[in-house]
Amino acid sequence: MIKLTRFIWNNPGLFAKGVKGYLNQPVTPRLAQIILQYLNQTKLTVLQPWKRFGVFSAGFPTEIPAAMGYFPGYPEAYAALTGTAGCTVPPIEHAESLGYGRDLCSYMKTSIGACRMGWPEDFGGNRVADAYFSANLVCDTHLKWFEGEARLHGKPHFALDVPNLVAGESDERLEEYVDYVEAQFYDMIAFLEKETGKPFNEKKFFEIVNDSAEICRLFRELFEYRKRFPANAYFEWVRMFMLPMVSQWNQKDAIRYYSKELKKAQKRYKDQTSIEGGREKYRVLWEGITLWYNADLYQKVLAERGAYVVCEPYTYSFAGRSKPKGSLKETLRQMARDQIIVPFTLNLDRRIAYFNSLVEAFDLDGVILHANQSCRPSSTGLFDLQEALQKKWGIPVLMMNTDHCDPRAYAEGPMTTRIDGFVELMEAYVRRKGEGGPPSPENMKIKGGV
Amino acid sequence: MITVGIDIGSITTKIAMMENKKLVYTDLSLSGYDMTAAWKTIYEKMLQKTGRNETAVDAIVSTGYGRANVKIATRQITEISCHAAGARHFFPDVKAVIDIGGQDSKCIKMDDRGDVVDFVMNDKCAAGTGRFLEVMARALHVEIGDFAVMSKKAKKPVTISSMCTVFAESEVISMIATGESRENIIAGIHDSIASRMVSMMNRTGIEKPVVMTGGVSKNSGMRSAIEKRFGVKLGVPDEAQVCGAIGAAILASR
Repeated sequence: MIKLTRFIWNNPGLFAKGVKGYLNQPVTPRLAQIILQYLNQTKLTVLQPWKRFGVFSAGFPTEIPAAMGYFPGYPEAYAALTGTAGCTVPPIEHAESLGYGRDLCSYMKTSIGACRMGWPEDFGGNRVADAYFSANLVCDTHLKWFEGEARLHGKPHFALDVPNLVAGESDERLEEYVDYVEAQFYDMIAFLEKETGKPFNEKKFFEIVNDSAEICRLFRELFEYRKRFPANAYFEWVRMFMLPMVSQWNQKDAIRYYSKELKKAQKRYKDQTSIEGGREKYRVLWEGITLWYNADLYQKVLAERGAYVVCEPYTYSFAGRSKPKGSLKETLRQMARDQIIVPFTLNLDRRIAYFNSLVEAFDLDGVILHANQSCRPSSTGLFDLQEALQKKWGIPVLMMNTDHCDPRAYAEGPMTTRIDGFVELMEAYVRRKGEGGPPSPENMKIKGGV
Repeated sequence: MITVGIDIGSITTKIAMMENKKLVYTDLSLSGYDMTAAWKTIYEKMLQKTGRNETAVDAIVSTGYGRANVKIATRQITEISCHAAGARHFFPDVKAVIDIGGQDSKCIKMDDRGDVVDFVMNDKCAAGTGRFLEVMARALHVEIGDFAVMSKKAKKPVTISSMCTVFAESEVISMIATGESRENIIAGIHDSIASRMVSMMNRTGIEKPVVMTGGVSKNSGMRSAIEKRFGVKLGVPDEAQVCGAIGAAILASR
């Protein structure tokens, strides 16, 4: 709270802009309450020295440290929220003034810049953790970023090395990878026992894993309703809606919240495929991290043209936690498997097959591929994916060259021209689909970033 | 049926009038700071010159980066579709369009029906655009209209390695300092843009015949560089610079 007060005092204009940005998000009071509670609890750990504060990279198997009492702090979530507030440029520029390059991860630069400037969690910063936990399942930057923070503050760091699956790997090799990650989980348990001076709390662990699985199940079930017409929710909502699942905090409350949302969806659709209002004009898939600073892209620019993002593997990737198995070993092996096979990091063969299934299941009219300036891993393989989708479906594909958290990478004028062009192609595609003819054998794509 | 197309680009604003699918008028002027004033001026001039009343105009399509400024437009359509339609007006068999404008460059792929099926655009970088040539002309103290003639006199075109306008300008200034001839430098500049365009064309997988539109198509040196690199003869409409506006007027009738 002191940090926030200091931030408001020193940056009244920025704070006002941030509040405006937060209010521009399509968030219900209940979801806002959950997000605020999470941020406040993060801050309160300072006043609760008996509680341990861990800083985790996105997707890390938090269940294991959480079983040992670590509260999960996520610098990427804080940076994402700062993005929605429209306040990432000052911390990014501060980080760049410290020597971080322009093409490095804008989550990382937002976090590092905000931390060095003493900003609160609401604006990208975070307090010094008791321990840092990183995994490279979706990003290699995590390891060095967290290692650097841990060294800077003289705190321990646990790095989890998750192998990436590449095309053509056999099931035997996959099992070897599971062995490898499982072994590291035991290392993590030993690390936690050493840090806390307590034996691993298996009972608590199973309870957390069970709740994690239930949260993910509810999220996945809700995701299914996005296949209906019109979809139950669009990206600008889901990207905020996933925060209770991503933060892995107060799981019981998250279960209550998602259960209620699921009941609402069930009541809304019952057994119907289509309800009032019918189908969206254009149903779009978004691949890659969202543009946190640009809610208007989804709720105004695309929506005004009748285009709605009804599916995105990005949010779904966080919903892959499985139920606990009969033993600790089996549960850890399943967790390892869940870490390795994530929709966001599928190898090209699996990714193409996965996207083909999505085009059909969600009745898509277009695909936007986010070629992310500061997240090259998530941008790898996009051209091949584009070619494969166009070859099979003739579906329009927009390659959007910008950044997830750095608004300096988004040029509105040129981008709007591309989006308008994309919509013109979707118009023709939908017309052809309506005529009952096969998709055009020609490629239909828009590319940028030459 | 009388239709009008207005194309507001970053450097010039273009206008075209079609009457019963026949081109009857074209004009252009600088866009300047006030794009609304720019299009209104040439719009009123067009009505005056053609002796038409505003009520005689059945539909107006605006295009280009400033398209939203034309409040009286019946529709707004991207310059991608408009350049394709304009090129098809002059070359009915066209399969691809290269448009190098002031702010961006694009390669457009079309199907047999003339529908746009693919395009590639440069992204947030002036390299390979008309603005790039302007910057280079300023650095070389040469009128941009003289680029074509001078480039043809080049004995040994230089290689411009920088892919960024600012760095390329520095590179050109360094070459001037070392005594390199303007002719060789200009030919090198054309070649660097051609190289960029050809890589865009290859990515799109475009087929012949290829038409070049936009203001830069007036530069025969530039055209030759692309033709040499891509190994294809480019078609250039008589009204290449106003091709987007012509396409807009055509699409206004649909």
